[in-house]
Amino acid sequence: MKRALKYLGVGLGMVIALALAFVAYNWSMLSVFPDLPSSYEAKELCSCLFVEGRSQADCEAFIRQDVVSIDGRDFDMEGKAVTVRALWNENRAHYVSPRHGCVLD
Amino acid sequence: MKRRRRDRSSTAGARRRGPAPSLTAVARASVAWAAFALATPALVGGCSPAVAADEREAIVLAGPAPFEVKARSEWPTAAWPRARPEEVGLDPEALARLEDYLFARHGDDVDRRGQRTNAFVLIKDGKLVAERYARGYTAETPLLTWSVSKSIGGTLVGLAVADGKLDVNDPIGKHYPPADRDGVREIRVVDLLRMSSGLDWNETYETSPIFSSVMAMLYTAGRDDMAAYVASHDLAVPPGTRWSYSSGDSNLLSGVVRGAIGDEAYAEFPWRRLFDKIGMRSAVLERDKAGTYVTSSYLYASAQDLARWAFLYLNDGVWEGERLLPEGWVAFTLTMAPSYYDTALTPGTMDDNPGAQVYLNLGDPKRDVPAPWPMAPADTFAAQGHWGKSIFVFPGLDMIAVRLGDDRRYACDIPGNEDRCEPDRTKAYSKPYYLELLMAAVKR
Repeated sequence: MKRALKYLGVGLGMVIALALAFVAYNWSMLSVFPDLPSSYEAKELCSCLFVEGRSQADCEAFIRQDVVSIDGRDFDMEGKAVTVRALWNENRAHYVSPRHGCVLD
Repeated sequence: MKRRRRDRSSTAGARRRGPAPSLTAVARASVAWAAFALATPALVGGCSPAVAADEREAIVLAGPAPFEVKARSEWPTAAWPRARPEEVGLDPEALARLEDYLFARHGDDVDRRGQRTNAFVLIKDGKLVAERYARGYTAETPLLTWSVSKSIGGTLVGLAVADGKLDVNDPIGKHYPPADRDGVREIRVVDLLRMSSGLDWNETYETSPIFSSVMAMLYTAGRDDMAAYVASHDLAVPPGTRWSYSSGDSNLLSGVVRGAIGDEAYAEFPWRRLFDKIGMRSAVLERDKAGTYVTSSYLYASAQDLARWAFLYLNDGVWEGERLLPEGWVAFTLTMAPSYYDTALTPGTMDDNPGAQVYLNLGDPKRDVPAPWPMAPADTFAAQGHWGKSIFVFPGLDMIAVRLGDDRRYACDIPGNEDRCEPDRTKAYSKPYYLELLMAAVKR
C-alpha cells in the first residue's frame, strides 16, 4: 500500500512538473493568447466593414469562431472603428484611409 | 518584445512553484529532465555554424522569362478588353461546367460548408472571357486575399531592385537595423523571398492559434511592428539551407523594403511604382502600427486587379512598353528555391513548390515528388492564399484564372487537409478538380 502510494506520488509529481515546465517553456506564447480573439475580431471586422464594404451581419458571419466566447462588440459606424471584448481583453481597430484600410489601435 | 521561450529562468520559476514538499526531489529531477529535453533542439539549432552571406553564390538577375512573351496591342490599364470564349479558343460549354462547379452552394453561412466562391475572373490572350461574383461581392469590391498578398509583396521587392535601392544578395541588416545582429544579419534578401530565412517560426493558423507565430505577429505580441517581431526570433538553421513556409519572412521582407526605400517615399511606393502603373485601382494595402505594409496577408483587391498583377508577369515585367521590373526578375521569381531540394517534405508541404513568393508546378523528380498540378502545364505558377484564394497563371496558354473564396471546409484531395474535409469534390473547393475543369475548357 505504502509503495503504491509512493509510485502514485512520483507519477503525479512528474505529471505536474512536466505541465509546469510546458507552461514555463511556452509562456511567451501562452501569456499573449487571451489578447488574440478580441484583436483578431476587431481587425477583421473593421476591414470587412470598411474595406470590403460588407454588412455587419455578413462580417459577423465571416469572423465567427466557435472556440472562444465573445463578451461584446461595439460598432462605431460613423467613426469607422470596431471594439471587441473577449477573455478579459479589449481591442479596437479603426479605419485609416482608402489606401491603408484598417489597423489595430 | 524579446522572445522568452527558451529563457532558463522561467524553468527555474516553475521549480519554485513546484508541488508538495515530499515530492520536491522527484519534481526537481523531472524539471531537470524536461528542461534538458526542451533545451536540446535549441542547442542543436543555436550552435549550427552560419554560413556568411558573402560566401554563398550570388544571384545574378538576367535573361528573359522562361516562356514565350506575347506581343500586345492592347493593355488592360483602364479596362480589360473582352472576348467571348470561342473567340479565344475556349470551349463555352466546358467553361459553363467550371462556373457551375465554382458557384454551386451546398451549405449556408451558418455551417460554412461546401464551395464558397466570392469572385472568379478568367483572362485568355489578354482578354477577359469570364467573370462571376457571388455572396454580394462585385467586380469593384476589394477582396481580402490573405497570402496572395505575399506574391504582390515580392513584386514590391523587384521594384525596389529596379530603383537601385536594393540587391537580392544584400544581407538584410544592411537595410533593416533591427535585423543587424548576430546570425540574423546573415539572412539575405533572397532568403526571405524564398522563405528560407532559417528563423525559428511556427506557421499555423486557426487550428493551433496558441502556438502560432503568425497569430502572434498579426494580432498580439508582434502586431505593432511585425517586421521587428520577426527579426527578434533566433535562427533555427543557417539562412538559405531550409525552405519553411513563413508569413514572418514576408513581413520581415516588407521591413527591409521600407528601410531600403526610406520612410518618406515608402508610403506612396506601392501605388507610384505598381498599382497606379498597371491600373490596380481597387488595391488596399494595410499597414501595422509602425507603418510597414503587411504584405504577408493584408492586400485587398478586386479579382480583375489581381489579374492585372499576373498580366505584368506574363509580359516579363513590362507594361505598355515600360519595363517596371528588372530584367530577369520574372525568371528569378519562377526559379525553385534551391533549399526546397534539401528540405524534408510532409503531406502538407508536398503541394508547395516555392519560387520567390509564388508557387510553381515542377515537383522534384529526384525524390519522386510529382508536380502539384499534373493536369496543368509545367510552366503554371500561382499566388495562393488561405481559405481558397488563388491567382493561377498559365504562360504557355496566355491565360490567368483568379478565384477568391472563403472556404472553410475543402474537398479531401487538398493535401494536409484530411481532417473535417468534404469527401465529394464536386461539393467543395478542390484545387485539382478546379484545374481539371479549367483545363477541359482549353482546346488543345
